[in-house]
Amino acid sequence: MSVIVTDNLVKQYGSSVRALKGVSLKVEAGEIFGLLGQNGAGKTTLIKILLGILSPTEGTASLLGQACGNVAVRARVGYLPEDHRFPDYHTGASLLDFYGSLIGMSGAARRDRIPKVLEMVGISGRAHSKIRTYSKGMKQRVGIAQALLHDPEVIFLDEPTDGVDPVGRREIRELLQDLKSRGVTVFVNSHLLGEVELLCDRVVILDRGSIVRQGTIGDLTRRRGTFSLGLAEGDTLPVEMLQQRGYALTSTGIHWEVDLRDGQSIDDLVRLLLDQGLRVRHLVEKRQTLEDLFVQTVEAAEPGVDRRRRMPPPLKAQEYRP
Amino acid sequence: MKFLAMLRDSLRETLDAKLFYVMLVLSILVVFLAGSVTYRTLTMKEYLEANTGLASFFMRGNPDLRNIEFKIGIDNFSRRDDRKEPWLGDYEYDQTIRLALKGEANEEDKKRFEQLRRILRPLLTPALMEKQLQQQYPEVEVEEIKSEAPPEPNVVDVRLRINTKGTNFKSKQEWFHQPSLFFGLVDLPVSVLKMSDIITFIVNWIVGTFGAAFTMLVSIVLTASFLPNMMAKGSVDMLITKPMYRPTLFLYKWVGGLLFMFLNTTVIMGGLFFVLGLQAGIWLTSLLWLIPLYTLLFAILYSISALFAVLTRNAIVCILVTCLAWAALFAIGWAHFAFIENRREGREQAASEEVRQHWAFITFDVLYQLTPRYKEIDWLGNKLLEQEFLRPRDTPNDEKLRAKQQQVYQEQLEKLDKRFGNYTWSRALPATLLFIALMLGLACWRFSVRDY
Repeated sequence: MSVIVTDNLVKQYGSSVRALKGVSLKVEAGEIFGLLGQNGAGKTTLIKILLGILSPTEGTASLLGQACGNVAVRARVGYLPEDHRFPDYHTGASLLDFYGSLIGMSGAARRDRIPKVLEMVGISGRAHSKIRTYSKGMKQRVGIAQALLHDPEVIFLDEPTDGVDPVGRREIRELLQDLKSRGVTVFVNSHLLGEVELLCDRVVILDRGSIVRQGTIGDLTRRRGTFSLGLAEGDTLPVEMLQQRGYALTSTGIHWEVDLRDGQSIDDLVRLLLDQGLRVRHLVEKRQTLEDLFVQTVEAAEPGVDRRRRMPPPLKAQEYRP
Repeated sequence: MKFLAMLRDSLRETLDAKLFYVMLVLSILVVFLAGSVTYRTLTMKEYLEANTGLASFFMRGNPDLRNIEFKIGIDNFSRRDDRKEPWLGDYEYDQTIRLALKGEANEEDKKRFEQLRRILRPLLTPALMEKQLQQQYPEVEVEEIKSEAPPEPNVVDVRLRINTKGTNFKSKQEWFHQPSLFFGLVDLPVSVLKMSDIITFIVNWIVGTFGAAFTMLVSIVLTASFLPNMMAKGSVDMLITKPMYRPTLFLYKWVGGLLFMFLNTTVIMGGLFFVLGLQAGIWLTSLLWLIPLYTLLFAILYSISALFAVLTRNAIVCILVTCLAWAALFAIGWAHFAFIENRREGREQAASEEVRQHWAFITFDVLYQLTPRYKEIDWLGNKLLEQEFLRPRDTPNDEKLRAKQQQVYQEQLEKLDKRFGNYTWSRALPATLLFIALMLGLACWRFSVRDY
């Protein structure tokens, strides 16, 4: 069952900025879904439309089977916005109590749940300190706690590990895996591609308001037709013969990288080597990282930002000394 | 429950502002000062002597009359009843008036003396005096006591024997008291003041005018940031993704913003209610009515602030616009009273028919009906308080006196009504509530359709 469905979603700001240009996607129940894209690609706009914070210019979107913006559905959704600003006159615990009341949780439920989620995100020791005394990472943890407070069916996390140290990131990853195991759908928007790769089942890459890639992590990172090949000790790869037959080979030390061209098959290559009496000991289909894929996909510079140029030469001493 | 949660949140936000505590301390200080005022009840003799002393003082103060002796005095004073309250007593006393030319007088002084004698002597007849004293006593008899000594030249000596039964002062609040500050430590330099006048001064001027204006200003400044803060990026997302309609959320937060004014007014008015009740023995329930009333006045201003908060999300703009609106409403209220209400037909300063039919007169009057009645509600609050002071509290046993007291009360009420023009709650409240609803309606609409 699709928990999130968008169909040809368009968002126009003013007359010049088109933040989303017909985005259509589906997120299934229990998935960890990653939304990737450069700054200004339209990720936050998409999340905000799904949550009813923004209204779409064109197209439709539904969340848990209801049109986005439906008030009742929000009780089943958790949300951690990017650049959140919690009222700093609250303590961690009182903030959760406040949000819990707005969600409609009973007093008993709040009293039961708040200490648990604060412990879950690792700040129960500072639960009664004012938020203004929290570090950025602690605020992020409170943000995650409020998103989890009412045990929602879907959670939207916009840059959940922003400002969190490596240990904290790992904890958050484990937390999200735990949520997934309990059937919660997680919609993550993050720049930390390594984490997305570790966490997400499926991702969508947005570029300037349009979906440019989508699929499972496995599908997207697989480099079709590139293999790492190694023979048993003492055997030598007949490079010349293979090149004459059209195989592109590159040495990577003890192994060889084979790039298959159209019509070539790795099975044919392996058969050929075996016929030559050679013993194949290593054969791995090469993958690329999500970051490689992302950079390849989104080559253009971030909208409104110039491409990085070479560093200018350092100033000479006399140029800046008074 | 969501409403209570928003209220609690606003309370937290209010309590987080250090300014709130400063205001609280100031309010408690004002209440303490008002509570430290003690009221010593003057006897009738003290009251009469203070009055005559004042008259003599003013005559002596005139440099043109420095060679003319003018003295009004009270003599042979006695009380004929055994009641405790001076305003319920029956009295007998002589009022003496002496006008004499001093030895060093010149021709100019003699002329002035003659002029004065010609003016005063006919006024000092028992009949005229009786009429004058009837303002003070429901039953009074005045008789002139002729001196046995031969009349001196250049001297007017009059002695009037006055017999009274009861007074027109209906209660302790209407009677005269000597106020002292700090529980009797420092006598205030006033002599003939009614207790109600002293309390009205404290409530209307110190608290109602300066205190309320100060509290209003601080409230405008402090609460101006509440709604912009709520609508700030990163903060508003957290709230509008909760299962609540945006107008509901906005209105709850707005009501929460009124808390600051409500709490401050409750402390000061509630405090005054108790200290005045305990110190002066007057339990003014109208003081408690002033709590919602001042909150309503603040609600007018806060609804304007709320609209501009949605439009601009900038606290400084909210403060500036609200202060401007406050000044404008104040000025419009005064202007309407001075130029329209006070000049209606039947008023003392009534304008001519031609002026009343002038397009500017009519236009201003019509436009005024569309504005919230800030000043009008403020006046109606003062009227409420003054009405409570006028209400008779000590009822005399004598039926005739009781009837007279009721008559005086009605006359005073009519006078009060006249003073406050045609301003009524039924006119002021609907227009004001409609204005607040309009401002909030616009703000809610904008908050609902805006992308955050």
